[in-house]
Amino acid sequence: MNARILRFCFIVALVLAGIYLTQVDYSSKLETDVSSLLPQVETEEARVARRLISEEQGRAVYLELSGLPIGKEDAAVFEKIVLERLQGDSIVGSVVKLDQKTHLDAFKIVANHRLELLFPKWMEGKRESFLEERSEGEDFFKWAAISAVEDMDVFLESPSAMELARPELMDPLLLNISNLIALNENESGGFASMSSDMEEGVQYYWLTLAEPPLSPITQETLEILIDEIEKELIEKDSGLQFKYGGLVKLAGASRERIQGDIFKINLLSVLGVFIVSSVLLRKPWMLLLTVPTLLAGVIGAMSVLFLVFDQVNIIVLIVGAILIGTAIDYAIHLIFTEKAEADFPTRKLITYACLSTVVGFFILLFADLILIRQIGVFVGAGLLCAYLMARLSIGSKSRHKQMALRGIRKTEKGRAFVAVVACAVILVGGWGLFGLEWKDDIHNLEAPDNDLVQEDLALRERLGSNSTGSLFLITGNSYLDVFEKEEHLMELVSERFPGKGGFGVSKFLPSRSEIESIEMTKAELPRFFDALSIAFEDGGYAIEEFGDFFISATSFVEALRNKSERYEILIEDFANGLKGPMAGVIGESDGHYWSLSSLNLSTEEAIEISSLQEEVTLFSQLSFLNKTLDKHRKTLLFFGVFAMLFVAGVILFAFGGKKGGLVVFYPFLGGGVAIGICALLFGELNMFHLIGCFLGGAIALDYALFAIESYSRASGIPHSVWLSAGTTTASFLALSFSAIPVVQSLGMMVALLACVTLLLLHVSRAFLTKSLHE
Amino acid sequence: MVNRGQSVLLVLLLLLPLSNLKAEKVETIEDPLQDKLIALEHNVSKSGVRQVEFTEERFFSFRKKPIELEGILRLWSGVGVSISYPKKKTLLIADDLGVLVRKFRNNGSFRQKSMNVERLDTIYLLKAAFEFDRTGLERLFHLEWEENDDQWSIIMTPRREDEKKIKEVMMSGCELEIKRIDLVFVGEKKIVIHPKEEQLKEAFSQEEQSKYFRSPMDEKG
Repeated sequence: MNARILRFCFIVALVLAGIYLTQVDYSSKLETDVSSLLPQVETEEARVARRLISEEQGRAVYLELSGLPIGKEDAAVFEKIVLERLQGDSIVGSVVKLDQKTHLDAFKIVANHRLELLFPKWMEGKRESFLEERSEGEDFFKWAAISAVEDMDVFLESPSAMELARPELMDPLLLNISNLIALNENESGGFASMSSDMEEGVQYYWLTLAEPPLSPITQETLEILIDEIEKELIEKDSGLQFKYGGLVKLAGASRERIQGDIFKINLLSVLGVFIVSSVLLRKPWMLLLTVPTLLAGVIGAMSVLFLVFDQVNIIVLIVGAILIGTAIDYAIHLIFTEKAEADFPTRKLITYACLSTVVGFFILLFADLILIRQIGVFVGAGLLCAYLMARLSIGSKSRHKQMALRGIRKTEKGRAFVAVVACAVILVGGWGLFGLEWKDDIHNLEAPDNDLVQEDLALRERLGSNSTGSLFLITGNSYLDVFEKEEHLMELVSERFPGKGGFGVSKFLPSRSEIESIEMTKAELPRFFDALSIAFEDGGYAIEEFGDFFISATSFVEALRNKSERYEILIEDFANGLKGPMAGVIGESDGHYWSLSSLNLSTEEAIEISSLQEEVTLFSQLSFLNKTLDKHRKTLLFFGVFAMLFVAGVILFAFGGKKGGLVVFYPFLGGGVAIGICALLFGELNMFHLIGCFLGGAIALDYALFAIESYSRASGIPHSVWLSAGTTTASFLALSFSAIPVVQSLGMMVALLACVTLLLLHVSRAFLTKSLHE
Repeated sequence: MVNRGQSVLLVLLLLLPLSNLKAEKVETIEDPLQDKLIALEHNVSKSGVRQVEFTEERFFSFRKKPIELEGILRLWSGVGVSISYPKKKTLLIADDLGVLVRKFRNNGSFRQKSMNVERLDTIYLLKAAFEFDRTGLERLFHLEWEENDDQWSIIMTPRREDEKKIKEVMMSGCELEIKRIDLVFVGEKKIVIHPKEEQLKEAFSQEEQSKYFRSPMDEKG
């Protein structure tokens, strides 16, 4: 095809792509949800975890209304306003005012079915105590009955007796009371038992959003709604304060910071490129000649990205700086290669450099982490478009080559200094490789506002939710299956770390083995209830005052058959009735059941426990996703190495063993040194350092191609390579100013790799020139 | 001999669960009652550090006989009030920061937690107790005075009928001596206090201070 037609077609395609980009609804296309980075092929645990993070718990919003007038009637006026406004907005799914009543209501089902739901565990607990304390020949049921009377006496003498002895909660076994006391004693960990002192003049609300919390529309709508309510409240009483928290607020703040980051980094990148070109170019304005190539790269990258993916993670756009730094190289090589080297195969070299890099990045499409695939498409498509634009728009008869670049003054002293620096860099990098450690932290993918996070934690704590402790996710085929596993977890914790424990609903709801145990003793249970009534009569109690407890006990025993199914239904009702902070502690979706347990373990202890018991997962947005990222870093390494091997194969095939081998060797060496230096700088390396290695490797390969080709012609590294290295380093160093730690990692790794490779190529000039001429 | 004012303090302390009862308006009380309250207030203001022993009976509908407890009330003006049940190794502390429950272990160490009592009302009630703030009591209760020969009773009924636990408080005595305090709760529960010995002290010892009152290092709750 005629080059002119090809150019025309390409430009038309770019214009169309540009028009498409103006039509894209960025608010719905861009997402900031780090949990969406999870792979598509998920385990059941991953699916449940993602749902809990993004949906169940993610939709929770907690509100604090403080400064209320003392006095129920006065406060009720404001309560009415808050509830009416919240309930009247479609963004709010449900809203609950948190108080003692909400707490007790949540346990109504348990209270109404205390024998079915609580008695099996009580009986098992007594059986265990009996085994430890029994005398020879003692009857278990009689012992348990007398023990129940003793428990009641102790309770009635305690301060709680006057506080909690509501008639409807009372029974001779204290089934409800003991569980309420356990919850009130802050044993419920992160689930907030609402037992904390609710201060006078303060009201707390817990609302569940009807819309996804990570959508910008949800975040903005909620913010407006809260502002409006606050304004209305303050109009009536200027002393009122209305605060809210939750994932929706944190994610909104994080999104705003990331958006700010995109602008800041790309601006800094352009500024850096301008400064470098001002230093290296005689006429810096000539760098404007690279603008069409850059534009083509950016338009091509974004349009292909948005066409291929329904939703794009915003972090990919921050990587735009990488594109600017790399895509500009093609134009620089074509525009600024010196006239004296007119026969220099610039086009061939950038063709190999581009195609190998693009193929390398497209190989990332096979990775199962969606973010990696998006980066692969973004960089691959962008570089290809930039290359095509450079080739089609910059002719071989470019008039700008002659004397475009400032000369670089070289002295013997300077050469010696550079050689010493190179040696030092290799030594430092080598040293760093010895202590190399990899660790991914999902928090590094976000741009959190630490003050806001602390404020949010403080607010949650005022609602009674303890932010310390480790959450464990347990999944199973039924609730009873889940509770059985949870009990094993608790036993494991107390064995491994004596004195440590925690809270999970299995603390009071029965496990399968406890139900089976009760069913097995069905024939003997009437004897126990008889012994119980006798023991209470003898202990000075009027058993008829315990309501219908003993009548219920008889019918409970008679109906003891296939209890497991009945329990599942009751527990499901209980799960559905949970409100506020307790909601989502247990649940079911698509036939898969889960529970969350809060254990007072340190992070290290929690990791140890989760590695010992396979059915449980240490659960938190942090630890769960870290585990996933850790796993996928290994996959990324596999694909990355495969891509690099492919590129190396192409280079070896095209340039022969010796020349090709050297072209491959220097970026490899530069990569090793850069990894070592980053290990010293960052302590632990993450997946984004690895991505930086592949990106930097592609850029370094470009430099190596030009340098080795030049050395084979007995001349030095082309000035265009220096200019290219300068602009690349400037644009990547811009990433170091990002608020997102992984973006800093990426920028530093690429800049270091490119610089170190060029330095090594530079100091090896004499050796390489000689060796290539032999 | 039991100090009547101290007994009133004991009642007030036991009335803490009433914390969120609020009055719509303050009513004027009868003169005989006013005189009695003034006399009680006068007794309270005599000494800042007191210790009163008492017996407590807890009546429950499902128990034929009451639970009997022995306790000691310690009053420290400007600091707080504590009630200990030595046999049960339990202590209740009430001060400006709220109410704290301590459970003592055999080795003398203890664990503690705050009780679910609304803070501002607790502070208010304690303040009222120390100063014998009649207005404060009148805001919470309808006060009634009954007299029969040399026996007298003050009957206090909460002004607000809601889900709270106390139905009625009755303080009975003879002349300036309080003989008995009855606290009637919903659910047919009742507490009867019989004040016994009283000790007037110049100050609590260091050991008593740290054991029976909140130390500055204790967190609220």
